[in-house]
Amino acid sequence: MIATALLAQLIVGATAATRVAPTAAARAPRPVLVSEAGSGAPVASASVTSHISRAVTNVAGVARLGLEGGDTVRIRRVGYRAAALVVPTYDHAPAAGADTLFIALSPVAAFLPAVVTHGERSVDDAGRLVASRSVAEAREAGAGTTAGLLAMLPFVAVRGARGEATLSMRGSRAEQVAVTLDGLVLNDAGTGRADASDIPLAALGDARARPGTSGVTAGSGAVGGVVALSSGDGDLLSVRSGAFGVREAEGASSIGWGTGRVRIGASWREARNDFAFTNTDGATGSDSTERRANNDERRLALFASGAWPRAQFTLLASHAERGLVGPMNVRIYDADRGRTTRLLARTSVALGNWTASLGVRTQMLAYRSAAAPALDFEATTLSPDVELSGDAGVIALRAGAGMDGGQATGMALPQRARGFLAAERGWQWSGARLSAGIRLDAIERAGALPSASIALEGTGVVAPFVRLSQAFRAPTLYDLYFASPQRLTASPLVPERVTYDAETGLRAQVGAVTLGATAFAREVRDAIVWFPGNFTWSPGNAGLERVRGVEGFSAVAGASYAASVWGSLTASTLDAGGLVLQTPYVPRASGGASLTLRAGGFGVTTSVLGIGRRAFAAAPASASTELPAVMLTDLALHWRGFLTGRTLLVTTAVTNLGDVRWESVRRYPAVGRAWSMALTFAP
Amino acid sequence: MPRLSGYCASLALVSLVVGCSDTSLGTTPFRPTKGTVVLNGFGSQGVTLVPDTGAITSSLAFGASFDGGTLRVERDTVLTTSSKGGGDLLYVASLASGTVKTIQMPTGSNPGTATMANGFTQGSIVVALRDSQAIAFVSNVGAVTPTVSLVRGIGTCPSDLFVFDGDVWVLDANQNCRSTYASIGPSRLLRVALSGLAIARIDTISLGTTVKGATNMVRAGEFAYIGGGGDINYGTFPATIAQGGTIARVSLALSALQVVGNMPAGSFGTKVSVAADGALYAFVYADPSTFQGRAVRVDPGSLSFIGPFAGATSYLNLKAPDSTAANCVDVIGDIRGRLYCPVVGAGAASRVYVYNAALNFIRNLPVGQGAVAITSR
Repeated sequence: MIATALLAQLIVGATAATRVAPTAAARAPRPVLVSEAGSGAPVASASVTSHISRAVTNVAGVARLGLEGGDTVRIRRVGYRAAALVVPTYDHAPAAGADTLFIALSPVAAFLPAVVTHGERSVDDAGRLVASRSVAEAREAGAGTTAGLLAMLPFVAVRGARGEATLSMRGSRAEQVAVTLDGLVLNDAGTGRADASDIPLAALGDARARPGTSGVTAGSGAVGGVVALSSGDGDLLSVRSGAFGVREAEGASSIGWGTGRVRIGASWREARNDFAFTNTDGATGSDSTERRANNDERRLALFASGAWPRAQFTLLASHAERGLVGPMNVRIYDADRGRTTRLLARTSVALGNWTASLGVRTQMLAYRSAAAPALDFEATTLSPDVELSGDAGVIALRAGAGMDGGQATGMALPQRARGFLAAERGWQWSGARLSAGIRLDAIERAGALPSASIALEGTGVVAPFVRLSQAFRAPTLYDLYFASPQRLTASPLVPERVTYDAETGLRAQVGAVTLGATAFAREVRDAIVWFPGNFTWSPGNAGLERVRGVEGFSAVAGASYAASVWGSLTASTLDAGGLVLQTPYVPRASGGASLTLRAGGFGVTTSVLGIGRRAFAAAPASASTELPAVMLTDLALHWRGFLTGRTLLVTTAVTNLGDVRWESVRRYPAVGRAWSMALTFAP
Repeated sequence: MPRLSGYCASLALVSLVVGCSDTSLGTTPFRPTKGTVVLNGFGSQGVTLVPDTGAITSSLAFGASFDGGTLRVERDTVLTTSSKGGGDLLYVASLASGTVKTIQMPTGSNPGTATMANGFTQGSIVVALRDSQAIAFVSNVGAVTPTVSLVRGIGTCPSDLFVFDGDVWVLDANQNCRSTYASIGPSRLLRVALSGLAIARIDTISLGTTVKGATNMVRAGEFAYIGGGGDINYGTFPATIAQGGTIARVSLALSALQVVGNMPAGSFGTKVSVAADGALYAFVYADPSTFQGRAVRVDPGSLSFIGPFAGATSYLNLKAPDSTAANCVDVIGDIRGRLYCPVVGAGAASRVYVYNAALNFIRNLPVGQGAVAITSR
């Protein structure tokens, strides 16, 4: 679906569709609606010019300027291909409300920043199922955090033991999912994992899950898939309160700034998280009901984004402090604390038909052990990046460079430089599209790493597709350090390589019904996995990882309802040392469903998430190393009305309605039934 | 404190990095057998029984909470513990019946070695509690809630112990066990005489200034052999050895140190074992950078090394099937002079290499995942 847009641009240039009725020639102000090809999302801050006037699109993607038949309208926006449209000449005035000119912009190259616009579209969406969820929908369904938003995405598993939120897709480990915010990769250079828990929900517009290997687009780490977060838009003020001491306030405001707009916001949250749980791991001979201690959290985030026709930026600063409670039967961590500070920034400017982007991200981690201060440590990682993207004829090119570095108490973390060059191209025939891409990464201590992808898909109402992709994951800084703490071995690990990630399936959209199904298989050689060795845990190129599975979804939406259902079957194993080991926390079966009904300003959303049995250790398959299957049900009621000219959304929700005692991570109890109530003001 | 603190901080970070490196699993059905016993600390946590006939191994699962590394087998009973990070648990496993019982030790006590308290009325099992600076007697072991009675004031970091001549002999590693395990000073052997649960007398037997980081010992008749782990400074780059590994012999009858021998230069982490044929072995890490595990055979009298050696080294010439040096994680011998060397490979998959007395490779057998220790039954 995404390749459609890009391919169309590659072959026929900018997509421009007029739907105006015939009109007399008069330069009356007319609306021009600029949207994103493929997603249809409005594109704000795009420059719309004719030979006598100029305007910039607003939040809704609309600009008004005086036009007459025969005028040429040019549209520019950083990150998108320039487009042009000739205003048709008509014999009669257009009907009221039917004089809008429509134009769709396509990304200038894959993996675009998406500030203020919505949806991150790329040729990499070709040949696969893609799912997205808007923050507005998630708020109606009771979500108050980014982790809650991501948990609503089909095919995405969210996991955390002590407040973090890491992701798994298609049988992957957490470090095998790339998470981006407006195109900036959030995965920490030290661990390879992205913790989405400290991304404020108010900063976001939507989240998009792109299951399957995306090495050409996302580079190192996009083995299981990509979750792309996009910045939000507009004004917002939201307060939320809930069980176990949850208190939260967040807001954002957009203001005009020259020809563009700037959005700034902040988020604050605190919670005790002192929920009751069943200690099943004691040695007393019977289970006991206890309450979580030292499980509190305090989070503060500031964010800003801005977009102009030829420039845009994203800025996020967050700080989180939380108690690092241990497993259910371990008390020695009851006074330990952790602090995480994150700073990230990305700016993009248009250079002719090219886009240059500069990004930097840093994460600072502090661990404090009250019982054993000698174990206190701090760790900081820093990753600056620069990227240039544009078109060379029908080829979409990207080139980039960056580095990863860090320091940590007692460790001499390595630094490394990296760079890449990627090219993508599309072809289109009647009823079918083909896209292909190649990429070459060069990473210090890892060498040259080629990746390739090819996808073929239909363009009809029922669109079959097939895709074959490759990727790699370079060792993280901690991987490199712990594989050779004394650096006796210059390259102790080789990157893990996705030799193939293949999938085939079909998508269909018939009226309001969307459905899709796919079967996939992935093979990863030299998978980097941590195991205990002679002395302690350390990473190694453990063996051959194989993933097989099927996924499917269906959704239907109308004015007063929306329903969706999804499911997946996955087998993920690692062949190592003569053993076939299960990938931890990959359920063999999982699925979910949600139903939203609306009447007047009221609505109700109920959702069900099923997580099948899953191993909790990288050990041979055995019931003794599996967590039981769980079924979690959430219920949310909302009312949407107006107050002092603004939309007011009142939401009350109960998560884990059945008060199921379960563990997201073995021996770390997850919260049971919990209520929340939120008030959200929006324009 | 640049010594172990930096490295332990790193290890603490590892625990965060790898998250809850949840572990466990039972493997093949349990079959009582004679032979050697391997302790599995990861994946299939528990013990794997290696028969001396070359027959297949069987295992007994402990469950996912187990994180221990000490192993004591007395007749048909396996005693081991989970540390404070694993919930402070004592594991009592019966190799005869294939049953496992866990007993809760005091929170944060950080149990070390456990042993049978033969001849004591205070309990049938006694456990070293490193962070509590105590030993614990466990009585009514068969009851739903066994009784745990502490005797406090036992050294700085009581790590290993045995009973002999009516007293409890405790090895005080003299390390900072509550955080970094950094050496505070020379280790020492404590002879603890009890009156009920009160300390009647403690005799401190000096092991000399070179025996540091001693966390294990083994009794052979009226002698105790003590493995000095050493004092390694991981805060330097590369790591430096302030004190290498040692082995000490103490006369229990005289309550006196008799001799201390140095392990091969550059080695540390000494762990001693006495084979069923009376031979004395020690496992060591060959250097602090690679943690290559090697084995030495030691003359019990002079504490000098006995071959066949690997080249010009003092290490035993134990070869893996691919002819490289076997990277053992422990070593034990049996009554027929055979050596058993557990190794951990990719995916923590573990095998035991078996050698004859001449160190010729006989066979290797799978022993589950995450082997950390081995002993004779």
